[in-house]
Amino acid sequence: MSSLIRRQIPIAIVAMLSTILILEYFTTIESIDSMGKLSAEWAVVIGSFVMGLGSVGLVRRHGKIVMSMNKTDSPYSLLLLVFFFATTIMGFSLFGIGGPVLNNAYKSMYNDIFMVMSTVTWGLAGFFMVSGAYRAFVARNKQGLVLVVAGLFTLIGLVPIGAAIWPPFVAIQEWIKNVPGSAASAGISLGAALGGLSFALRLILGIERTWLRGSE
Amino acid sequence: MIYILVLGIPFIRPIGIPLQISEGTRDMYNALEALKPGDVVLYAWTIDLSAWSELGPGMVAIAAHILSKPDVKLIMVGELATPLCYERIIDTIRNTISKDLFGKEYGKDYCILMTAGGESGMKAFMTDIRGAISYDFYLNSLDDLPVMEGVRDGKDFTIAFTAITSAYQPHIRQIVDLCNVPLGALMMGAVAFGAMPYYKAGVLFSVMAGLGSCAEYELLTYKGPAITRMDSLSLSAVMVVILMIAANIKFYSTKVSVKVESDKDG
Amino acid sequence: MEILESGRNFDFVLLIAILVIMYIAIFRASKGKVPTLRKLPFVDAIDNIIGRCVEMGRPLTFSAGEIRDIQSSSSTLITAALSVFGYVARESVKRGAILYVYTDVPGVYLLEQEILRQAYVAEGKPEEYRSERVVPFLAGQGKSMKLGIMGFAARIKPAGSIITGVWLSSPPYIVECMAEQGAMQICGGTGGVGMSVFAALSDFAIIGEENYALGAYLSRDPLQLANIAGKDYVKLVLLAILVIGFVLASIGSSALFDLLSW
Repeated sequence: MSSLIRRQIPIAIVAMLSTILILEYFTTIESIDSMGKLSAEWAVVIGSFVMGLGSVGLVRRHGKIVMSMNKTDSPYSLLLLVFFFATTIMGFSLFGIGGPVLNNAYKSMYNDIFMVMSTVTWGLAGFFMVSGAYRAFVARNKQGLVLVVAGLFTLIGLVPIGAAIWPPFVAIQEWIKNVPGSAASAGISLGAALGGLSFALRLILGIERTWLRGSE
Repeated sequence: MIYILVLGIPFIRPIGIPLQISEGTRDMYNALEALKPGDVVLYAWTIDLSAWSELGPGMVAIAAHILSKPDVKLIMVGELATPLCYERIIDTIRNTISKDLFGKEYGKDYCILMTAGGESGMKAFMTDIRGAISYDFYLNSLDDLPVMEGVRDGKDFTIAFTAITSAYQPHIRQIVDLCNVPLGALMMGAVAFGAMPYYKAGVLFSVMAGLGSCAEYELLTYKGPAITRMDSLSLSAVMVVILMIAANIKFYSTKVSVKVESDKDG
Repeated sequence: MEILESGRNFDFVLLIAILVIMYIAIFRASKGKVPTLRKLPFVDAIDNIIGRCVEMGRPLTFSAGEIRDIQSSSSTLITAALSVFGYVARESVKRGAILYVYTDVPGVYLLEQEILRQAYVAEGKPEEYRSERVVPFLAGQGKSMKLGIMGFAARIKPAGSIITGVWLSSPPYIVECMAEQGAMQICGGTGGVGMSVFAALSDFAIIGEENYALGAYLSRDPLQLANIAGKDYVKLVLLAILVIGFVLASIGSSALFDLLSW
């Protein structure tokens, strides 16, 4: 009975819904179309509940850390929980609750705190990429040499100073982007798409079961 | 420290390196310039404000270009925090380009909608807009918005635009493949390389890559902050090239000295 | 009335052909004719990394992707990453390595907790399971993970890092932070920034379809291996169509293009 509930029923649900969604893409049958639309709406609702469940998990985890009164971690977890609940309460302003005060507070928090911190986070990538480039772009072998040369031409050709120093940089960069770069991307995308198709088939047929019971 | 100095100096003393307009930017400009009265543009599921410094100027310039066209409707759809980004785009256009937003009004000429559920939400929206959502971002009913009149599903859009930092495949599947709406995209530089096959095949009518493309679009339409940032970008690229050359010189000089020492011992 | 959507008839026929080819491969495997796959270099590296972590007494970290949740359109790639996680979790528990796993999506966070717990139960060590070792960075669509990983890596000082699944914009942060701690890295992605960064900066890169094949390869399940072989036969068919299309296009014929739009 437990194997029926834990394995057979979920696999049957996956197989049935997958077949409906595949047929919905290819056929003009109205009943299948409407079942496909309904599945898309269910997916939206389930996704929202998963997000809620994740929020509960987050609050539980950080609540436990705060209650443990750990000197290093508890202050940060407390800060997280304060901002979590403050944002949730301020977010009700989007439904017209709390009037302009709450609305302005929410927008101010988003524009002046969240957006600024997000921009800084993106900016940090520059430092990591520079240190990564210093570490990785070394011509240790023939492939490395090709990587270094292509990287140099692409980097210089993409910025205005490349055209100012030597105009053919731009043409070389365009060629690298349009010919070998594009061909490699297309090949990898095709392979990845096929890999995804075969994996989806494994899921639908119940051959792949790690998602059901973990290590079993 | 050196990196920060290299990035910062052009802001104090601009160099003024000339820009060349790339093919992708030109295609986007031509497509939006060709919009006629009655056309409906979908501003589709772009980033939120995180990559604003890289893609924001381009998003503002493109939105301003669309809004400047007479009798062209603009439907902006996003999820999570993206509608707040659209509000910022509108505010930026008001503050820097056109105080009266080219005479356009919310609800009559443009609107901001919100979906949920990622690609499932996109699919639900493109298949049947009123089936997916009933209200706009400000909780007005869609039937009360004149801009939504006659726009029932994805096939009613003339053209679509998106700005993304990562995956563009959901947009291609749900906008181009499902509804045959031409889609142009503004992307981060690294992501744009992977999108070139779609651009070359005609699936995307335009691929604009990063801050450079934003600056090019500003040159064609309305001057903005991206142009002033290009000098900084150029110098940072030169710095990375110097670092790469230095790393290779260090590697080979170490290799040569190890070989010389082992020859001496041998 | 047409039953099939116009413009998709050829796609439907191709899908049926793909399903038939894959079914034949799986059927042959069920009768004992299991195909042999080429050796993937990073498969041994996974075992080596776990051994390295045990010897050095430092933790191993794993992540199954960012931003995209289990119910998104990337669910197959995320599930493939979770099947690799199942193997890594079992092996780590068996050999006594400390395994930390981090994520920024709630659905995957819940699944990883369950998979890790099941690994400890399966190895007869349920009392050793620690829920704190599944670290969530659930805010800001990946931004909190980008920042959190810097402190996380500096605190736990991992000796090994395995990441696979959907990687969009966090790779530079994660790869560099782990490299700073001296961790050996196996990284897998299918496109965009992630794959380029992994190929250039990590010790072993899993590119494109290898991400999907890795779970099957590690499980050694005959039906899964047959599925991989079936996919390769399908790739041969598609390559043949490409070559035919190239030849026809070169002589100015649009026959294949018309067939594809049928």
